[in-house]
Amino acid sequence: MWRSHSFRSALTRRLLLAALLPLIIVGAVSVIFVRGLLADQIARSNDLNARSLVAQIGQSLEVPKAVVAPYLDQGYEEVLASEDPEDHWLNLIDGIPEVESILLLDDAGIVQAAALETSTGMQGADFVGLDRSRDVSVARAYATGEPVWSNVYLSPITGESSLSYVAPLRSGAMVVNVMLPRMLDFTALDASSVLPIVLDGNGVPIYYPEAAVAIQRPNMRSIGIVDEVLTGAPEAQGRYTWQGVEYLGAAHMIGQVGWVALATQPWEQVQQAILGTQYVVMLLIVLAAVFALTLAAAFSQRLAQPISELARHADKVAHGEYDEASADYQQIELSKLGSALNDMTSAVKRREQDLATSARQYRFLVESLRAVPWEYDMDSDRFLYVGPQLERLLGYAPSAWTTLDSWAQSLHPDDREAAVTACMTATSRGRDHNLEYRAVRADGEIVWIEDVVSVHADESGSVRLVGVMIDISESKEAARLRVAAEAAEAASHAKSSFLANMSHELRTPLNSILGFGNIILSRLAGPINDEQERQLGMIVRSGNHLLALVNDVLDLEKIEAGAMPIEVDEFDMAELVRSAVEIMAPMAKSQGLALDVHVPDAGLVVHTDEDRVQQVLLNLFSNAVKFTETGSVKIDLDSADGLARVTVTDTGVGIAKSRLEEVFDEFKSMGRPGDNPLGGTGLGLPISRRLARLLGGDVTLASTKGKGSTFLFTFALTAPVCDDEPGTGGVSGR
Amino acid sequence: MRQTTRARVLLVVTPVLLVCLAVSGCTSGTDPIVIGYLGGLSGRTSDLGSAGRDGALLAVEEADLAGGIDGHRLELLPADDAQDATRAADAFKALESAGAVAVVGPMTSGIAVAVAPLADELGVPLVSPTTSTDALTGKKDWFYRLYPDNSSAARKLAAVVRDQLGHKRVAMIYDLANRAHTETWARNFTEEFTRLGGSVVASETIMSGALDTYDIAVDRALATDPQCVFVLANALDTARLATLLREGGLEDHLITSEWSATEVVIGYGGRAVEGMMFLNTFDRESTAPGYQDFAKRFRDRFGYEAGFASVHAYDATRLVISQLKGDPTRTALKARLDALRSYDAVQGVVKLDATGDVEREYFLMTIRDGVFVRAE
Repeated sequence: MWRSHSFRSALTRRLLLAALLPLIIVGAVSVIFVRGLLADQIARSNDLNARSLVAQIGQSLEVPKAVVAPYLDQGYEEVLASEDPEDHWLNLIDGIPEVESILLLDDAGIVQAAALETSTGMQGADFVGLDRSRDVSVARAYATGEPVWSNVYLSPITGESSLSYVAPLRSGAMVVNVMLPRMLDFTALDASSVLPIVLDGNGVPIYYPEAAVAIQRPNMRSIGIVDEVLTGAPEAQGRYTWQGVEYLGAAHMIGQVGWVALATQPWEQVQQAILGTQYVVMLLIVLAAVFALTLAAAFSQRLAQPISELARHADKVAHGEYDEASADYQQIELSKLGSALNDMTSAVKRREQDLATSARQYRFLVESLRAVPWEYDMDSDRFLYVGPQLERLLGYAPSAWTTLDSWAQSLHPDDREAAVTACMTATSRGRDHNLEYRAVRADGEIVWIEDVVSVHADESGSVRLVGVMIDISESKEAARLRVAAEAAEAASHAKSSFLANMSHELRTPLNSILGFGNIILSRLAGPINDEQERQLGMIVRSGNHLLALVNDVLDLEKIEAGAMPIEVDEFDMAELVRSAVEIMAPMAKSQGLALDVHVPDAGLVVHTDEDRVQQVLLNLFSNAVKFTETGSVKIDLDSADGLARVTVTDTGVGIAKSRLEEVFDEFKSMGRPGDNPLGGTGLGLPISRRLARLLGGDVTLASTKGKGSTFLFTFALTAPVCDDEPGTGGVSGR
Repeated sequence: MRQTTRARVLLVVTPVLLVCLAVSGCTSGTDPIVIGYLGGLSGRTSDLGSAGRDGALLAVEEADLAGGIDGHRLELLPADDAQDATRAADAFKALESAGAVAVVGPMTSGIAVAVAPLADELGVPLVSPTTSTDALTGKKDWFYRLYPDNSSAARKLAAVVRDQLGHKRVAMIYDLANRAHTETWARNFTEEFTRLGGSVVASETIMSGALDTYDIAVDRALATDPQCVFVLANALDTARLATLLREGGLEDHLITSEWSATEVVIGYGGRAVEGMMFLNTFDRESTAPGYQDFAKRFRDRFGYEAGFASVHAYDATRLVISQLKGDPTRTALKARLDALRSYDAVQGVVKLDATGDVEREYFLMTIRDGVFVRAE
């Protein structure tokens, strides 16, 4: 079962595990090791103490030997004869605490001289004469001739536990009595935890540090190691139980007196020492563990902190705060993580900005559309979304559309059923479809709507419709207007061709009328009277006028209908001007007008339709002569900017400024009574302008009423090439 | 988590161990029954007290080994009277307050006289193995003894000297340092010996340790030309006196009391105490299996031969222990001791009278070749 932990605690645990496991193993080994080591050490210490006891006692046992040593090769008589042995011995005894008394025996064992420690209150002399021959030790010494150590006994002199050393001399013997309590002084040993015990040959303590035990005079032979030594082993050691207490001890034989030196420690004490050391070891381990814990906590804190910081940073990023994360870590991995996080933050920030921009644009786009996006869920019969443009488009709040029926209610009653049926039918077939219907705005206005609907079905079978309602009222109106314009244009074309045809049809009979009229006038058909001549003349004049009018109208209509052909020739314009002036010269002369012509001497070669240029020149010249009563008409030819320029300036009546453009309007210039007293159709100027424009130029007018007019005729030095069919013609300005 | 378990085990085990250690130090079964021992364990006459203590110790140890009393362990608490009345009283009080159900001791009459009233006062049975003073004879109190009083011992000895050894003239030397013991002894002996037709020709005294008194006493005694000399002193003093007497020409019997009869008298008396005659309250040569067993046990235990002090202390202690069963209290013990008329000692049956005085068998002993033997 895994629970989630913080990275830090996991790190702490693992660090701790890594530190504690070896620590515990070391601890366990140490604890076991300490036990063995200490037990060994204590056993060794016991052994050493026992040896030390043996050595000390051995040293004390040397004392009586040293006392008798000077006399060993003497007989008791010689000793007696030597100067004052008793005094000498007394000094000796008082200088050696453990020696109680020294006796000199003769061959029979009778005390010949004696010295006793002063504190006994007895004199050596008190013992002189006493028979020691029946004393067990003395008897044995005499019998063997060897020095003898007595058993331990209570001295009748002091009442103390005592020991006698009987050393046979060459004759007689010396007895040195030693007081055990003074001999067995192990205060130095008492300072240690070791109990120094000295047992006599029977196993009863002659020295035991605790008086309470000493007074019980226990027989310690029941102790295994003591018994081993008493039965001959030089030494023995081990654990034993005595009087219910467990001990660890070492026993050594004190050879010459048959005693046992026992150095022992209560096992509990040993155990406590072991336990104490083990506790210290464990305490050290616990301290080490605490140290490891502290260190692990600090380490994991230090290691986990950057992770927490980075996690906090990631959290901030999630909440839209795009601060820079720290990448300044000692660990390369953390630095990389920090940098990666920063990169990610930047990327997220950028994408969010892009997304926001995109969303804004989209919103702007959607909201600026004259269209309403919507989403409708078929299963719940609910609109999931209706764009806010609905308000603008139809004057309803988007929330007004909740169900399909609420939408249908806003449709024009005539279109309602059809739209709903069409939608349902297409949807049931899973087809995307477009609906066109009229909707009724809240204010009652009718709006044409095109609804583009897509059908979305998911795996569970539920169906959503997503659509956009587009206001198509304007395009509906535009379509209507386009149809009207096309009709008008067709009508105009029909009129032009009708007129052209009609002019042709008019001219044919008119030419017949004029021809026959002139034949009559010329009297080719017989004589006519004056009256007839006058009337025929009226018919021919009227006929000519009508013919000119018909020609003009024909020209005009040809140009208008794009049927005026342009035939390009190379010719000298100066020549053309001069010839045109010559045509007009008689008329000018008849009116008393001077004609002032300026053309380039070198001439001006142009490539254009010579007939049409001449037609314009004659029209302009004739107008100038016609409308100038006095003065002159000035004609100039030059070229500039690829254009040939002909300027005609007269000193005639002029034209009011307000009417400057009217002279070029075929409808205005025609049919104004009185305006054309000199004959002419009034269509000359409109035709001239249209021809000039056809040739890549124009005819313009500058005039002052009463002072005269200046017409400027321009055309391209080389006529504009037209790719169109000759029938359709080229129209200037296109 | 093994670490945690290990730590828990450690946490639990450690205090438990400590508690166990503490408890095991305090409780080891029920409280032991304490039997006090009062004797001279220091000073020149400590041989008697020490020998008595060893006898008492053996008795207690054996009883303890046999299961104690009603499940209680037994413990002997020895105390040193240092042959001094004041110190003896202090020691006795100490034993009383240590809860001693009875005190075995003292070993000497002087101390017995001093301590017996205290026993009455504190209500602690005081059972002396070796006290013989007449000063305590016939009293119905908290003091008991298993040793005949001086008068009976003295009369017995007088009869032996007069009738068995056939001496008529006896010179007597006794130690005033143990006056409580010696004076009654001397008086009773004199009375009885005189009654039997003998004559105590000299009755000299010494003061133990004051050697000049020894010479005077010996000179005076020998001056009366006695057939035998009766010495009433400790072993060392007996050895000294014997040596002086032999030097002074005494050739006949040296008579002593059991008091003198320790190894010391042989070790320091030598040939001078050869043939020394005394009455023993036990038979060193007894072949009775009970005694032989005891003697061996004692030897094994302490490494030396049991003397009269050890034997009597052993008997006294055994008696006390035997009377503790069922109700180990001082009063119950007193009641039982009061009712006691005899008990089985290591050697034979000892009879007691209504006042607690003792009648027992005597054995005439002597020293032959440095060894205590029965005198035939």
